Amino acid sequence: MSKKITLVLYIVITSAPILAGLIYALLYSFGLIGILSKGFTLRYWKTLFSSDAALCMGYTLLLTMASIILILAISLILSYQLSKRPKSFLHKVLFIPLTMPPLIMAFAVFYWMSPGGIISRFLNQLGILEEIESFPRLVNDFWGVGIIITHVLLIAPLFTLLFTNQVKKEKLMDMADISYTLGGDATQFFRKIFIPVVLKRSKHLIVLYTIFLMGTYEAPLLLGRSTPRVLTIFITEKLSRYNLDDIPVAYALTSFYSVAIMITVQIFLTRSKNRSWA
Amino acid sequence: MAIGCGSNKTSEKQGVPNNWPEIEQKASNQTVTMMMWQGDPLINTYMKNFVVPTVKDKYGIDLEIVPGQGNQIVSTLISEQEAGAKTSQLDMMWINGETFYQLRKIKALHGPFVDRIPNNKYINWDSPFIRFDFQQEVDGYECPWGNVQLAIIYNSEYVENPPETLQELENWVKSNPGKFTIGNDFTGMTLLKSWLTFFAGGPEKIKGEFNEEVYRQSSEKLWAYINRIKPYFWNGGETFPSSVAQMHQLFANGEIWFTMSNNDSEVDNKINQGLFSENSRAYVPTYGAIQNSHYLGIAAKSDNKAAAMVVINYMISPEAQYQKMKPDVWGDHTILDIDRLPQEWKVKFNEIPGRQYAPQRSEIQENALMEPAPEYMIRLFSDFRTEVMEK
Repeated sequence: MSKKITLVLYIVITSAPILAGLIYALLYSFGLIGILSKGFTLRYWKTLFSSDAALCMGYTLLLTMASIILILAISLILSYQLSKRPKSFLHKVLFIPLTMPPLIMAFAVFYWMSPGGIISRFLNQLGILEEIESFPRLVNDFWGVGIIITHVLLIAPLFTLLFTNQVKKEKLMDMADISYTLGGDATQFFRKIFIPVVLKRSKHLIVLYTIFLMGTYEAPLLLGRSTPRVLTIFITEKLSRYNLDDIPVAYALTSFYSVAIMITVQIFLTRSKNRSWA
Repeated sequence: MAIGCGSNKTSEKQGVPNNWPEIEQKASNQTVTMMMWQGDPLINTYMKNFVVPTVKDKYGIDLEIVPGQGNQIVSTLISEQEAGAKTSQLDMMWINGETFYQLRKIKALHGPFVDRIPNNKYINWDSPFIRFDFQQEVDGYECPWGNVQLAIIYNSEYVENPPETLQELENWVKSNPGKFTIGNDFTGMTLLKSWLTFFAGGPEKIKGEFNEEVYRQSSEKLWAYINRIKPYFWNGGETFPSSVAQMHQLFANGEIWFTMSNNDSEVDNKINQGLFSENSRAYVPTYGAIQNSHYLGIAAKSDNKAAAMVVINYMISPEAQYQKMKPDVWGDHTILDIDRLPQEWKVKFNEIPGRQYAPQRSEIQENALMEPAPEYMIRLFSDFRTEVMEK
């Protein structure tokens, strides 16, 4: 009985506010509530679909996928190295980026990597760069290099530490010895055992951080381009710039995005459950 | 200037006593929450070290300043109205035209109240740049606080003769690729309003309420002009700075040779702070620049309107305006008519040291353009995205 009450309480505390927010956003997007509401309308949804929202969504997804792939690659390699040498200096260094808020990290990337930044000026002083403008554009660029670097610097250390703990918990490095005894080499162990086991054990975390990266704001604001822009910038601009009629459009995208994420997570969880039953 | 005559009865209903001594009495020992833009250290210092302690000493009022500008003020007050809140978390706000327009639209401003403030008698209501906010009569729903004009800042080490006309600007931008850009923000849009005024055929054409036909014709020319020179902008015109702070940063870094400011004297205080090079200069081109005022408003649902009125009265007093106008304090031009002030203040205002790197206000006054109606700003902002940034 008490278990049931705890579960109900948990749902009320965690899910109810989200659901209430979603209903509010939906009602707002259909003109049913809001200070300037004039009754049901599809106008705001039509405005949304005729805007650059789809481009923003695609761009956000691309940036997130690029970031997460790079984060995973780096974290897997680093955690493998750390597991081989558990008391290395790297282990301590990895805690430093974890103390930095995203905005500070974005600023740091900007100051290092913009054409007027530290690296460019240093190369200019050395005579390698004739003008600071010749420095390749790594911030406010089309490919979102600065944003991806910021994401990697923020998340890769965390993933590395978590993966390392996972390896320790699973006693994975003991399996390396068995694999060598059976004639395998380090590369085969890394590719065929280390990566699949770590990814499988951390899949929920990876999905959560993918969703988190899709919703980041500070790094794209400072390091991104005016167009295409990420979803959070699109929504913030619609919510808070000069046209009050844009507020329901922001709510329409918020509801669409939330429902899309919920469906994706649900599909992932169902498939993951089915596989574990199989 | 008769503003909001017969507002006493309304005010009494809204919890504000009828006469000033009673208002001051009611204001004593109250806390007033003010939301304002806090993006400039000099402005923050002026508020924190001068206004806040003075209103505490003189009236026993605790003035609490919270950060937030136009859109956040509107969002906060909209949310409160939608939630049916009886009182607002904000008492007073620093606002300007587009926020005033939005707040009037949702009836979130208290007023009329300005005619009840004693220092109202010194305000220069004869100036259209003060009486009208984005072509709207202020009607006593906001009190002028300061007056500024957009100025373009350039690095005189690299730019010997800054372009005075749009044709000269086009030639300059084409011969100096990557050194000019426009911010996708309030200041950038203010610059575009002066360009729109030029393409509309002058200030008279764009005066009054929003005119769709005038906007369509003039904006077509404006977008054609910008798209023609966009490839020569900073970063190839592929992206635009999102704030004036980012523009200043690029300017200070030497990435661009022009930035701009909605405060015509800002270049002086930025040089004094060591943020801009001493070669920086400000100017207003011959095609003109928007001059506007910024205002103080009181939230309709504030339960502390009397205290907010006392704070506003102090903020527009000769003492506070004089302090604010000093270039090393803020450099914000006063909204008071200096000729109406008592002799001692007249002398003080006239002795304020002149600007060193920006032109004197009297020199640029003839190139001052009125703010067009707020709809122009809304349309410019959204069309700048579709017609320029996304092309």
